[in-house]
Amino acid sequence: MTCEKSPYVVATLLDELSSSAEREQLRSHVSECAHCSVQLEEARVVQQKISTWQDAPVPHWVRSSMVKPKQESVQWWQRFSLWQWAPLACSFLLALGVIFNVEFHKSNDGFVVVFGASGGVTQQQVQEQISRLSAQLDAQREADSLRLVETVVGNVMRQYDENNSRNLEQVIEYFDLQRQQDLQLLQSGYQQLADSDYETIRSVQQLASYVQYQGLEP
Amino acid sequence: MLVPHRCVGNKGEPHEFTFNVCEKDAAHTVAIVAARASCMSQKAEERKLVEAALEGAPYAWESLVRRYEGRVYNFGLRLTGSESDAMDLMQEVFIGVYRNLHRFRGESMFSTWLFRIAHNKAVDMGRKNKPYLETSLSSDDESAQEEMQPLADASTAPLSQLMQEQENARIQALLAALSWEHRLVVELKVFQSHTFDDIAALEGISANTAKTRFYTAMRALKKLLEKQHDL
Repeated sequence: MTCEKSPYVVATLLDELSSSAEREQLRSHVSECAHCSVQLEEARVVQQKISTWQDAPVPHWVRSSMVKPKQESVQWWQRFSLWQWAPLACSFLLALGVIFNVEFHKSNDGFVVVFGASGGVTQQQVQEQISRLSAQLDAQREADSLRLVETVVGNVMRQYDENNSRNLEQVIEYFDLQRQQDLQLLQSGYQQLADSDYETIRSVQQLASYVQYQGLEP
Repeated sequence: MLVPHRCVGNKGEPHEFTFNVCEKDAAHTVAIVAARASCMSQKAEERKLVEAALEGAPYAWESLVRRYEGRVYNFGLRLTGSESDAMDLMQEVFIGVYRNLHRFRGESMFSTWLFRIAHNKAVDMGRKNKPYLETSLSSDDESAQEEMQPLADASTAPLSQLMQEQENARIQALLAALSWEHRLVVELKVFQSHTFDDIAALEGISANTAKTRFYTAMRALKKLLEKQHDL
């Protein structure tokens, strides 16, 4: 004789925490079912037998071995100092200035920050600036020429290493000598040119006479 | 008759807290109220200890460990049948508890949370050491049963202690004869006083399956006791 409800009945009735209504219902079943009644009683005895367990003392062990002292929590922004970021910030600002072509203009009214290429400069201002620079360049060139002449004269004077009056005479002589040499060179050049021209004229005359001769033939 | 009393948490969920009261005692109601008050104060105290342990206070952690180490050790002892395995399990449980202490929100009883970890560790251990733990005694192998009973040190222990150790060893041997699943259900029901719904939730099975396993385990234990002429 068995009862298929036995597992449910026995387990539920041994569970002191199950609801009283359910227990009451199952008790009425047990009062009528001999198998369940026997099973329940046997299970109750078994439960009592094993419930005689007495907790054994715990052997010695190190309880705090896994405890680590808590470290002071440091926020992420506290790990970095301000100075650490200063170079990066400066580089970033400079890069922005380059990318957006930032210009600062100082005027009587104060400072002006301009973003973009034109920078607010008018065509007239550009022309004035060019004229000014051109004038500066001319003056600079003139000054350079004078300085060059002075340098040459100074060099010549130093080359002869004489007193000033004699130096001057020697300079004049030097220039005169140079002029004469130049004239001679010029004359020889003209003579060569004239000779070469004479040769050319002669060649032309021969060519003309040849043409004339050829033209007279029938 | 001794019945376990259950404490109810803030969210209405039942918390495992055993407090033995006499059902037929006239002061039953008073005892239940006292038990609930004790439960709440214990909960608050444990919460403080947990917070202190999280701050790195060794005394708080040790206090928590001392409260539950006995229950966890004996839980392991009944499940594994071996003192060294029980110690290993207990240490693993407390290491797991310490590592996950910051996750404990105090919504349930600390003991409930701790024994959930203990259960998971025991199940893991059961899976790892399956061959050893599954050397459950067949009903016919009485010599094996005798081998499973650890011998008490008669030279140092007093008689009552010796008898209790022998009784514990006998229960250990009986439980060792059960399969791991049945042993776990008996442990959770008889020794941890869980409801079948709690057991079902822990084991990932239905409540009816839990009840069937419990019934089967009771039948197997009854047969073993009969063989020992103890029933």
